[in-house]
Amino acid sequence: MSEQKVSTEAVGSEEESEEMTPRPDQQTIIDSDDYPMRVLAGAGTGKTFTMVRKIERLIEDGTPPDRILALTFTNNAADSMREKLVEKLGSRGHDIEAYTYHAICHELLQEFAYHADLDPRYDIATEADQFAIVYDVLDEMPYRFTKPEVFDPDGYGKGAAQRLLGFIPAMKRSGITPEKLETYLGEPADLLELDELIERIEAAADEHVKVSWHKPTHDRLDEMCEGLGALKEAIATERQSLETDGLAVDVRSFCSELEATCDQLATLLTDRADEIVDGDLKPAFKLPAYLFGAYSSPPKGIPKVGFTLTGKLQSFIGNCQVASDLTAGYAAYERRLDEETLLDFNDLVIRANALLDDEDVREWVTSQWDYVFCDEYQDTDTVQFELVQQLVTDDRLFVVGDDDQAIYEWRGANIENIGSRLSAAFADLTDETLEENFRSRQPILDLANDALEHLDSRGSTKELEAIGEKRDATKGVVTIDGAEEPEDEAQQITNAITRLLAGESELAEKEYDAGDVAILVRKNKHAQPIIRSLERAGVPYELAGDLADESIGVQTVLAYLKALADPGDEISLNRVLTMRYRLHDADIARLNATEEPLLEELQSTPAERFREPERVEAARDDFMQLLDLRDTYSLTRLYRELKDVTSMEWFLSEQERRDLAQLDELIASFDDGAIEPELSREFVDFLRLHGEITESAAASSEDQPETEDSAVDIMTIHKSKGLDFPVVVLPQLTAGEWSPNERTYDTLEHALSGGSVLDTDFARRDEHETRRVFHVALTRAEELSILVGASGEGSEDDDENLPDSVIEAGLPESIPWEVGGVEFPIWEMIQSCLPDNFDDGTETLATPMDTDGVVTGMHDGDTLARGPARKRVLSLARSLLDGDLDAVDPTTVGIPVEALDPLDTPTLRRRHSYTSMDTLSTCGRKHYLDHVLWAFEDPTGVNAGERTTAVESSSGGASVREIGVLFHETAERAAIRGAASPAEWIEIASQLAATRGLNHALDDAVDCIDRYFECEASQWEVITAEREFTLELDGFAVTGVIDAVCRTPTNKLVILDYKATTKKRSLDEDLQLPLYVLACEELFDEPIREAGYAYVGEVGPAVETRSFTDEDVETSKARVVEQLRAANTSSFEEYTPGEHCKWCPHRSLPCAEEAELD
Amino acid sequence: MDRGLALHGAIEDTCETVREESALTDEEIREIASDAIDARWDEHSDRDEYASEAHYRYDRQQCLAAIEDYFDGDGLEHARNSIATEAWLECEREGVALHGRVDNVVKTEEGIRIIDYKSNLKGIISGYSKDAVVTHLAGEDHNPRRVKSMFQAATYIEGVKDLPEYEAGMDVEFTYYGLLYDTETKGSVDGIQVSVRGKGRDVGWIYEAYYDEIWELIGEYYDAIEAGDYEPDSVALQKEHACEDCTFRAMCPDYLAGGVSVDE
Repeated sequence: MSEQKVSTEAVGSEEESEEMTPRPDQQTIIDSDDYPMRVLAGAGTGKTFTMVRKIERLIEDGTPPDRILALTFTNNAADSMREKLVEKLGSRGHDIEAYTYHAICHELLQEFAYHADLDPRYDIATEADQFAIVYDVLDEMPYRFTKPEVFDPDGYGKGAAQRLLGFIPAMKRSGITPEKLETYLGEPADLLELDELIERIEAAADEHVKVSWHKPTHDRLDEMCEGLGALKEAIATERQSLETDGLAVDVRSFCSELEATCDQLATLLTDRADEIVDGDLKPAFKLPAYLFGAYSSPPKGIPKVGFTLTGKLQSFIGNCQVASDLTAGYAAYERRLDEETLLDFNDLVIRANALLDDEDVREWVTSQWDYVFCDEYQDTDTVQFELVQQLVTDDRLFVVGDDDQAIYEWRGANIENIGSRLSAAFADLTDETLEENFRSRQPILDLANDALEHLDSRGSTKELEAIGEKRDATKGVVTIDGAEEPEDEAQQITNAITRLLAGESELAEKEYDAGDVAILVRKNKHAQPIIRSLERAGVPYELAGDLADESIGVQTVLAYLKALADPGDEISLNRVLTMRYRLHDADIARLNATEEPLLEELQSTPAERFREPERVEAARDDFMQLLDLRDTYSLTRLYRELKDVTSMEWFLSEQERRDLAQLDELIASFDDGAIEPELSREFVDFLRLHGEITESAAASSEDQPETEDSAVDIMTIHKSKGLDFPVVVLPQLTAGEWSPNERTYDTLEHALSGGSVLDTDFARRDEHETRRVFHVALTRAEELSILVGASGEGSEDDDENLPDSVIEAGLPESIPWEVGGVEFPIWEMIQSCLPDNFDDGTETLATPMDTDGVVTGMHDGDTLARGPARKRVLSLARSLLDGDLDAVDPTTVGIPVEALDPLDTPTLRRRHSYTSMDTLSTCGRKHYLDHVLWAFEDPTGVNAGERTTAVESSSGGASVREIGVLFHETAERAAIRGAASPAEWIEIASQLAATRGLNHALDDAVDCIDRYFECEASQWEVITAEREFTLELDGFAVTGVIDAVCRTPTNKLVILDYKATTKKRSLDEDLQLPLYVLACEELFDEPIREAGYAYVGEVGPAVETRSFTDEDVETSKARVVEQLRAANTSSFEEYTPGEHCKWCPHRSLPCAEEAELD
Repeated sequence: MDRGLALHGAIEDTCETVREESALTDEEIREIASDAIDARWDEHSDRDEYASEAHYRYDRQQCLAAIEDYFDGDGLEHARNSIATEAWLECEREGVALHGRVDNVVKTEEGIRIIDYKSNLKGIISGYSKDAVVTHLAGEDHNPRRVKSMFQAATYIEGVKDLPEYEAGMDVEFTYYGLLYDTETKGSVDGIQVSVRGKGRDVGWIYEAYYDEIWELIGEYYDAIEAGDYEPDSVALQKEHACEDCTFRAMCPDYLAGGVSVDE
């Protein structure tokens, strides 16, 4: 057995390999040597698994891993692929060339900067850079056709800045440069003249086909046909007067269609003359004038057509005019990027494509790889498609994706890239599909399949099919007829979730945890009422991704930043005074009572005039202190200071803290930007708008959000792609909320990419995408898909109106737009697809749980149900605050903590880990507070001065914990990527510090890295890193993460724990190493009996290990079990005062006083 | 950015000049107004409050166009017959004393017209929405802006009766004038062109028609303010109809309470 084989077996568990045996259709793909190959793999069919296994097979058959290039969309996906290969192939897996589409371009441009005519020191423009530059170039637009207004984000309309922020990436993703736009759009004067052309056509329609008579006769219809002839001639004259290049060519095509419509309408009027004169089609004589814009609204008898022909032309010309203004802004943006030596994400791909146009370079680059593998190919945009084409040699391309999950067209992705374009680019394409779904029950999949049935442009006919028990499942889809008001519907959803969590529903077979449930929304606004409703019910939830900034706590932090940016913003300042400092109503009123600015009043009013002066003083001191720092601190540092000085987080709920963490990350990312943004109102607005901006601009928005184990996840459907949950709730399934739309620059972008302005109905195209979005949403659910929606009111058909078919007959077939407009009646579609035995949960699952009658507490002789018990506790708390609470012996009040829990489910679950056991050995109360209750920590500044000082490192700011986190994450990432040099580690640490908001810990972490590389352990082969485990011992479950398992040069396996601490640990006393040794017995086939610490903190560098005999292991097991038993019964009453109280986050409790610290 | 101050100031300056220098031609009045808006714009606008120079210039262009339109039409007559601008008016009725600063008081053939200048007429009571006063009083609906527009009318209509120019039996009309009521833009190679059309809305007749209800509401609110009672009668109605449009909701404890309350 080779050495490599040993290590492979050492890290793969039996359970995993059994689970991961490829299914026959996957095996066919894995074994095939046909290239190029396209695999259309449905949701949950294991497409990435199949791709990884195929790569693995190639490597096992002798292809060196570094001859394979694998492209993904996110760093996480690239890392995960590499990780899986390492697990199967050992360290050879590191050598796979796995990149994101942007990263490979960055790599190439760095390597060939000279050829690409680039300064290799270029930076990548962050979102903040792009935002700042757009604001900077606003005055470089001519505003000939657009208003220059820049709106507050609360406004309804899109202002100049938002328009430009949307326009630039839309053009760049299709490879459309400002020069190309300028050439196409032509001179502004010519664009302006096109308005007049439309006016002239409408005037001609008014003259020739709009009539004053009301009763058609055969003669009058003949006359109208002649009028149509005259109109056609007038349009032809206009067409002939147009230039023969650029936009004029497309306007010419438009005019030709209008002329053809004249003929078609004349034919209609002639062919159906009898019905028009004497029958039901009388209103048809008004159709020509209506379609050519001579009526401002549909005349009687003409139904809702949804468009007029001149209106369509006007809309296209109007968008071109706006684009001509924005093109100047786009060009100025490009110049600024150039001046600042910046490239944005789209530039990376565009410049790499240009680089690869050089045949010598391309030859060299493509000679590096034998195979190119692409994941999620349906999400590629035009320039990424071109990139892949340039990178492939000898057609050895493997792409995997799902045309049915193409939901990013609105952001530039082109579904044809995995369809017709790919077929055209590679003639000998082998096609395979994966249709076996491992995730969902069959009824869910049936509905998901049906959602796609009506897609005429679908690239495949695949149907998802469940396997095993799930295939035979008859349950899985529950519908709820949503209430009319979103708030009421939100209550229905909350009721349903409450029942599922309490196991109180016949529609579910078991009790679910909050973390099992996800609510996936189509639009951000759908989340709002649900959040409020869950909040009221006390159901824990997690807002993923861009939804987090809707949180009240985050809004207050943003208001604080806004007030610092502009102290004259009294609304923001008042919010801060109310929400953070909780000033008394009377004090708020006093501060606002005068004409003087609020800040001046806050500063100058003597404290004694306030009812609660200490609160006012705290607000004043904090605000003035931060205001002093505003102009000297960087934004990120000021933000950190804001959180420290105000102890803001202490005032936030657990939920809000999670939400704030996302703002932390966003702000931290600006540290890495090339331009340091200034704190301004606009910038804070940008933070609020971030979600909307990233949707249109950044590559990072494809990153999947972290999901929460103990809370209901709420996220947009787009964010949920790639994730799955046992229960998925889909709210607001109505035609109105799911209505498809044509996007502003669709036609222009299409025309500039070689399409015709008249070959696509973009609203229909969006309807297809909307169906796919629904398909993606449905296929996230494993067991239960809860659909909440309602039918639209629907317009009543007027019998006197012309039927749509007559209007269609009046239009040439080449006109792409649908008469009546495009709709997606989603609820009606769902109803028509439901199986006979579907579950309607409207009257059951969605109704409130009756908990009123259940006695949960006693007080003062009263028996109290859940609600009244909670009210009683709150009323006692108020009395306490008001100072009029009668003496109460808490032990005599019979209201248990559980009564305060709005859900009838156990929430105090004890989870054990080494950290929790370590805490218990110090103090039982701290264990109870930190690991059972998850209690809030003391706010900074409350008896915590020493604590802060003690954990801060000497070099300023970062705590030992933060340094440790950064080092550990770096080590993990380095292990996955096979990074083995200090420079590579430092590079990884820098990236992580920027994204995790830990830049202030970077220097210390780099010191740790240096120390690590001075240790002999840095020379050892890392077999696995950050290995998670769950160990069952005597009925207890204990979880943990092993930093690393290494192989020494003498072939010995060693468990290592990295310590960035300032003190050394006892090898004999601590339970950590024995616990890991026990865990490894379960994880790996062979026992590992050597374990120790690698000290990378100030106490290092050093590696200290010890050996464990069988007897040691047995003794350790007994000690661990004993400790777990104690951890299962820890309580608030047990505490141990001592030196540790100095650093305790609950030091404000009276127990700390007993420690009698100096 | 307070365009309103510049617009109000320009009209005030023009009316004052016309009062002092009689026999001015229409063209001369327009020139005075044009100079006045130039000066007032410089006085009240602040370039730093705009994200771009283009936006700043565009707002100025709108103000100039609004003044030009006003003094091309009704403004000429209003300026020639203006009795007072920016004048404090007071009234008292059954112990309720109200006062306010009126934008313009104009003499008409039938009596007196009071004018309050606005950017547009959004939220101002109209013939279509006049019943808002009754439903608001009955607690069936919540129409704070429309009701407020009637309170303002009540104060000025009654207050103007104390002016020496008022004679018993005179008609008193109250007009809300939206100076930027209709703003249209048109593309041009020299930059987008903006044209503005102002519009007045007479509401004196609504005041007469709902006199009792309006004064009952004023009485109720007066008593509540005097007693320091700011609790709304119907929080639900208020939230439904008023909060979403309210600039102050981000700082309003009542509005925010729903999101942070731990009570049921």
